[in-house]
Amino acid sequence: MTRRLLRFVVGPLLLGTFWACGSLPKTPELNHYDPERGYRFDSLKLGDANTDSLFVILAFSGGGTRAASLSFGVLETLRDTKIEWKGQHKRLLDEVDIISSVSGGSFTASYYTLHRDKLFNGTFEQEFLKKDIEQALFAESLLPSSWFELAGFDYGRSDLAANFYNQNLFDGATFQSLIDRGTRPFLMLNATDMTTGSQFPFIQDQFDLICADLAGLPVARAVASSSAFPGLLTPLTYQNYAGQCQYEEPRWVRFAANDRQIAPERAVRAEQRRSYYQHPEWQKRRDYIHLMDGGISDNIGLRSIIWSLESSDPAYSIQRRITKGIIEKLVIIVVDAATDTQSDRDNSAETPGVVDVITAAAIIPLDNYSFDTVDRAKSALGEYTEDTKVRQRCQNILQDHCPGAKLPGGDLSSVDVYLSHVTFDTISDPKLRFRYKNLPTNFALPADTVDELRAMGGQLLKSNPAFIGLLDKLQQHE
Amino acid sequence: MEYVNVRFSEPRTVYINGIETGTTNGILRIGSGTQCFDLGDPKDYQPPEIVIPIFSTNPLEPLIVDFKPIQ
Repeated sequence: MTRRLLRFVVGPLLLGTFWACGSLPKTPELNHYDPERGYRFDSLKLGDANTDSLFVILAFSGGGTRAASLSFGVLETLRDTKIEWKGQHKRLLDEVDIISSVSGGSFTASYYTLHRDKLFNGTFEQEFLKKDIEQALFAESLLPSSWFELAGFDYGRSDLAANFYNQNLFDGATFQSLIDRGTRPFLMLNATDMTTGSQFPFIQDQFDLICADLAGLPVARAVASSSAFPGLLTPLTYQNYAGQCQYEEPRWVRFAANDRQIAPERAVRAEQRRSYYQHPEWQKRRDYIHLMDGGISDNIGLRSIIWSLESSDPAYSIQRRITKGIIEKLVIIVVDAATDTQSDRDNSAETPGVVDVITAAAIIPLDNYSFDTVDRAKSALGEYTEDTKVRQRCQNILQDHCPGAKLPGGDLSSVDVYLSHVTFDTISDPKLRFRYKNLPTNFALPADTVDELRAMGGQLLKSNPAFIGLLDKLQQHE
Repeated sequence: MEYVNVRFSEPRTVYINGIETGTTNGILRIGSGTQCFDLGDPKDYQPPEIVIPIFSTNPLEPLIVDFKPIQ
């Protein structure tokens, strides 16, 4: 992050010492739990050109404007990719069903989901990608009204940023605006719960746990939560109204609580959910939830998707849709703007300073974790193709020995899977790769760098083997 | 990933933890852990539901979950 952003951090801290007026923005309350209402995957319709049979998921990583620009370039390419599916000519972009994102990627994901093709009309480019957001935030923090707000103990720099995004980028749009749009893609902005360390997606299924109504929440506040990079931006605070909306936990949570031996991850997930609304005497109450950058728990926005591939537990389970034979082709495009920034520290015997150490400790695990996350997604998808192949091979052997015989249980529903990992790591020219992998993480990139990133996003996608394979198959379908 | 074959005398919708997940007499994919199976309405089968831990299955050896019609 640049010096200007540090000024945005330090200036208000000093000024704020003298005043105390800011107050916590109220989280909208949910009066009555209703699993049929609110911003949920199942409450969105397909849209004219979208089908369930071709199911497309996008995951946008963190990485400030670098990530926002790279994902913008991928969306431009999907817009320009013409396909024919089920006899209908369309753009691949029209088939996008879910966009899951963290941090910098959340800006592009949100703006597209709210405004669709207006993303490409130049406004987002001028008002966000090519704008010095850090300078704008710094200027905002110098306003006397900001000093008063920032001085409050329950109002932080991210609250100020959320207000800025709300007024200057998202025009006050709330999640109700997304419900009103009525069609996919389903937006999953992800933050990190500071206490449990788990992912906190901004979907009503998650807000039910704290009896809050996501519909009334500004999208900008969710984006600010998703991009509240620790240290530089403060976590955002949400009131927890659990117990006030007659919430009924899904049945799987009750069973999962006893799965510590056979499905430990599921058991922990159930426990984390219950931490919002169950308060055994030995546990501390959680009257407030503090959310920070989604990149802390998953810097590529893929883990919510992996859960839905591996389990029928989530309300938006993809596994359930595949099992029911609804999905024929599953496409996942991961737009990963991770870098590997060079440092001068190895030119000297000097012991690295505190800031250097903390920064390295914060970033290195994120990148390693991202690599493992993509591998896990590949593995989860691989199971869908491998299990059908295994049964088919056995069926063939059975046929050879007992013509006409069939394996008990019949055929497994088959699905073609395509995972494209758009990453700077696949740039073949080492000098060019070095350049992209050393771009800074900030909200103030030069306009030509933004343009280069957009072009690179498209180029990397178009040269990705899984994407090429997908387009080949779609052409065969014609 | 785990595999389950829910068997019944006729084609019926299978509910897992109360959610429509597939149909009887075919192989269903599901996550590991304890799951609750039923066939919804009409309740002309027994037992009314089956709660069973699922782990270590494979596509060739799915866990068999049997419902019987009420005579």
